[in-house]
Amino acid sequence: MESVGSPNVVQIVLGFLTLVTALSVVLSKNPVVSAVNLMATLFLTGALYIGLGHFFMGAIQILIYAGAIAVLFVFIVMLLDLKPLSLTLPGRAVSIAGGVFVSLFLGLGLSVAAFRSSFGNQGAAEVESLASIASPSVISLQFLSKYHLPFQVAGLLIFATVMGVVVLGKPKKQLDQVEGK
Amino acid sequence: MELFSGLSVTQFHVGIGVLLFCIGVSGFLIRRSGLIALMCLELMLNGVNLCLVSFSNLHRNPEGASLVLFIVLVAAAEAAVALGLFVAIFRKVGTVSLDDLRSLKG
Repeated sequence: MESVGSPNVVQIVLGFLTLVTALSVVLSKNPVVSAVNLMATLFLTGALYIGLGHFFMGAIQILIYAGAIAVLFVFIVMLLDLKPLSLTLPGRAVSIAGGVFVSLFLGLGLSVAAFRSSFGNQGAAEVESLASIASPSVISLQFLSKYHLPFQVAGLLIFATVMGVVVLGKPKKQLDQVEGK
Repeated sequence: MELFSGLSVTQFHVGIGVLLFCIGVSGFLIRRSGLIALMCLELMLNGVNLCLVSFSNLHRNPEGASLVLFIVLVAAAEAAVALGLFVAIFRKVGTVSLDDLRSLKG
């Protein structure tokens, strides 16, 4: 649970399961399998947050991400009844090669940076306890003081989203009726 | 498990976050279905969130966790709008394959 020391067995297993499910989001042909694997990835990431001691973020992750967003994905994928698309198609070779190259390049560079850095060797980190930063009260105090304006703007964003999706979802006939045509 | 004994907890989690981000990037470039591209977008955001939470844990600073909440919120809004768009497109065109949707190309 502390930032010093090596990761324990549970964290390692959860981390690898996260990567495996994320890979199967990308590699599975059936979109429903992808969506369910996405749900598993988001759930496991929430478990990783809890393993780090951020219980509130873990709960938010599981409630909002795995519980709402991923379920929305599963719902839409099943609603659209998509046919499984093959990964390799003629004319896609350049894009596949580009994707693999970019991700290998990014992954190697960033992993070397992450693994060779000196995270965890800082003395100042041990001063405050984890409870003083990860508790809901601390985070909500930030939302009400320092991040008050962004919080309000985020509310506006959600409102605009709701309005936009309602307009998008309506058939054209009903929209014409609203406009009086 | 001995392999990871030289790593700190933060290094391990940042590494997992980085790999999640890269899996998302590769999926976004490789797959041709619009819905899968959206899922890969969520994977990328998730990798960034994992990095933010582990750095917040390392520095004992709550701002990383607050930023994660904002990211979750924007991701929810984005997913709702994009899925609504794809449903509308599917109704009109009958496909969400990104290779077939090129009417804006002229």
